[in-house]
Amino acid sequence: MPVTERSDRELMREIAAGDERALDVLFRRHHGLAYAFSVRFTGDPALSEDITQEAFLRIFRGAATFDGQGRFTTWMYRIVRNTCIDHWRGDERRRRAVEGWREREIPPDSESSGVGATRPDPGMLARLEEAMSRLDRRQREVLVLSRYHDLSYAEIADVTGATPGAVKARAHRAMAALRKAFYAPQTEEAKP
Amino acid sequence: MTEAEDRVSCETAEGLIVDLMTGNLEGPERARLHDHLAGCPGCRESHAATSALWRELGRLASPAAAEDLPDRFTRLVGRGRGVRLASTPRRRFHRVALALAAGLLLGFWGGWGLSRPAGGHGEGVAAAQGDVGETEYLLLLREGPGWTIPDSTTEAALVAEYTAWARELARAGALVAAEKLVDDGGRLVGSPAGAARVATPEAERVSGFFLVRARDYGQAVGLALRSPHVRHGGAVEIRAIDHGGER
Repeated sequence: MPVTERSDRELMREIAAGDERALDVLFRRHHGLAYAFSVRFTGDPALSEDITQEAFLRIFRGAATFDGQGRFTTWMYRIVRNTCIDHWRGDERRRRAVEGWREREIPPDSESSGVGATRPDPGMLARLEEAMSRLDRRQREVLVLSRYHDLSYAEIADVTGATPGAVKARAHRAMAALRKAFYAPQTEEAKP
Repeated sequence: MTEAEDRVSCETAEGLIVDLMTGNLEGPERARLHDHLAGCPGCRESHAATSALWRELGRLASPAAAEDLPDRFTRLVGRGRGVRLASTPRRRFHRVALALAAGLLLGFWGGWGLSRPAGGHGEGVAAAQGDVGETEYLLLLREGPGWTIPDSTTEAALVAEYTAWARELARAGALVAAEKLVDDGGRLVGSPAGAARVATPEAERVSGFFLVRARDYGQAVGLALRSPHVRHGGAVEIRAIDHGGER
């Protein structure tokens, strides 16, 4: 079977044996997810290119520790997250992360989601970005991993090192905080 | 469970609505929520608002990596040559190069069965220095004021330099360990001004280290002088490991 058609687990076995070609295939298959998660986590697109590459180097180095029990992507998100945290510790980067969430461009032709959905209002999406930027980092990562990466509470717990119960509680608090941040300004504006 | 116990409070329903949105609500809990929503206009309104918010979240732009990122990664791991990471400041890609060197190094060692090769010395280090000794020296890679990279240096070339040096050390049997350090500057703890404090060091930060074996300081200095770090204006601090014996 060509290397490009092998499963993630097969590729990981080959990477553990030092096969750089398998690493290359795995990078091409999953770098988009890793990059998107990193940008949403750090708010810094340029830094996220470095983070994505460094995370896959860590995957290369730690391939032997992948037990093959869960999905490879869940393990990958854990490594990307750890790499983000390592790169994100300084106050300067924290500031840029928050600003990054606020400054990211909202494309005018974003894909609509769901039947009957209308063209998104750029102003509304900007307000939503702003609301997301106000969330506590742990709350935001739960929403990001759930909404954009389709991870269950149990999988998010695996990525973040928290218990599933803690992840559930964070998701509840995150949505409550997001609703408050998103809807509150409209309420204020509506006041005479 | 009695009928009263089976009833969902509005507070509980708020959480269940989130679990429903995120795909984490199944079976009886799902049925209990729907029963509650059927009889509670306030929670139906809340459900509608949360659903709308969840839907809008899905409309936020998905960050897309540069199209050439896979090709750049391929070059980083050694296939292809000569293109610089356009969006990456030089200092940062120098660090990526160091990380890559450390990464490839471990892969290289993996290929050698995690042991030093018997006999066959590398052509560079060992040929130049003779047999390595048993004393361990820590080479601390510092970013000094002269830390620059020539304009003509490409990313692949820089990676190749670090990797070649690391492999030379490994082939010569001089290499014990190597790691790149996190780029946050770390923490400096002490009392230089009379009061204990924690700070982030700004000058001459340590970006990584190599632990090597050498006969003496002279040979360790020779190993360090061959590093791309020195060539590009960085400084390498060399410290012998004190195992309690004589050097």
